[in-house]
Amino acid sequence: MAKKTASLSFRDIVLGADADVIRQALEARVQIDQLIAERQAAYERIAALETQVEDVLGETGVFPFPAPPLPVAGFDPKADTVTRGAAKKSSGRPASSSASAEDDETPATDDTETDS
Amino acid sequence: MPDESSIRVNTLLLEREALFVRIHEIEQATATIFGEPYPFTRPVLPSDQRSKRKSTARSGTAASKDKPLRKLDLDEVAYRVTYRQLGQTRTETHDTPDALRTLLASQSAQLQVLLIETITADGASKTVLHSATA
Repeated sequence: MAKKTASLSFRDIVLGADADVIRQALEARVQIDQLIAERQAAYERIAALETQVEDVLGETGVFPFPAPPLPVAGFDPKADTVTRGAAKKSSGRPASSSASAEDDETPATDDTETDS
Repeated sequence: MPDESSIRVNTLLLEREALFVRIHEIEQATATIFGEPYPFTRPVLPSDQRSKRKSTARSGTAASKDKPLRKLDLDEVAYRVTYRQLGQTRTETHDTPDALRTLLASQSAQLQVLLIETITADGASKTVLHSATA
C-alpha cells in the first residue's frame, strides 16, 4: 500500500488477482462501504446538531464545541475543543497515529465518493 | 428561555458526543476489515468555521472567557466553579475544563459564571482563572 494505487480495471482484477482474493476483497469492500455510509450519515447529523446549537445560542463560529471523546480521523486527539479550520489541514489523516498511512493514496472508496 | 436553552444545548451536545463515539467505532471496524488504518477524510462541520465577528469583539468577550481555562498545574487537582442560575448560587468541582467551557459559553441573563479557580488537594484555592462581578 505504500506505492501509488492505480485504479484497477475489471480486466486487471479478473486476470491479475486470485479468485479467493477477489472474493475477500469484494466482501471487505461491501462491508467498508456500508460503514462509510453510516459514518457519513453520522457526520451529517453532527453538522445538523452543531447548527442547532448555534441557532439556540444565536451566534455562529464562537461556541467552543468539545473535541470528540474518542480518537476519530481529522481531529486533533490532544485538543480539548474543536480546532476551527482543522478539517482542511488534517483531511485524509487516519484516526490511528500510525505514520504508514500517510504514504497511502486515498483509495477509490473514499467516503466522499461512495456515499452519493 | 435561557434556562431551557442551556438544557437544549446540553442535550444536543450529548447526542453529538454519542455520534462521535459511533464514528470512532466505525473507523475501528473499518481498520479491522481493511487490515490497517483506513485513510478517512472527514467532512467540514459548522464547528470548523471561524467566527465572522470582529476580532476586537472576540478578544473582549468570548476569548477572555475561554483563555483562562488552562490545564491544571501539577499541584492543582481540579477546577472549582461558582455560578448563579435562576437566582441561586451554586459551586461545583470539575476535573476537566470541558464542562466549564460549555458553562461559560451558555451564559445569559439567568446564568452567570461568577468565579472559576483552581484548587489544590486540600481544597484550597490556588489561582483565580475567571472572575465576574455581579
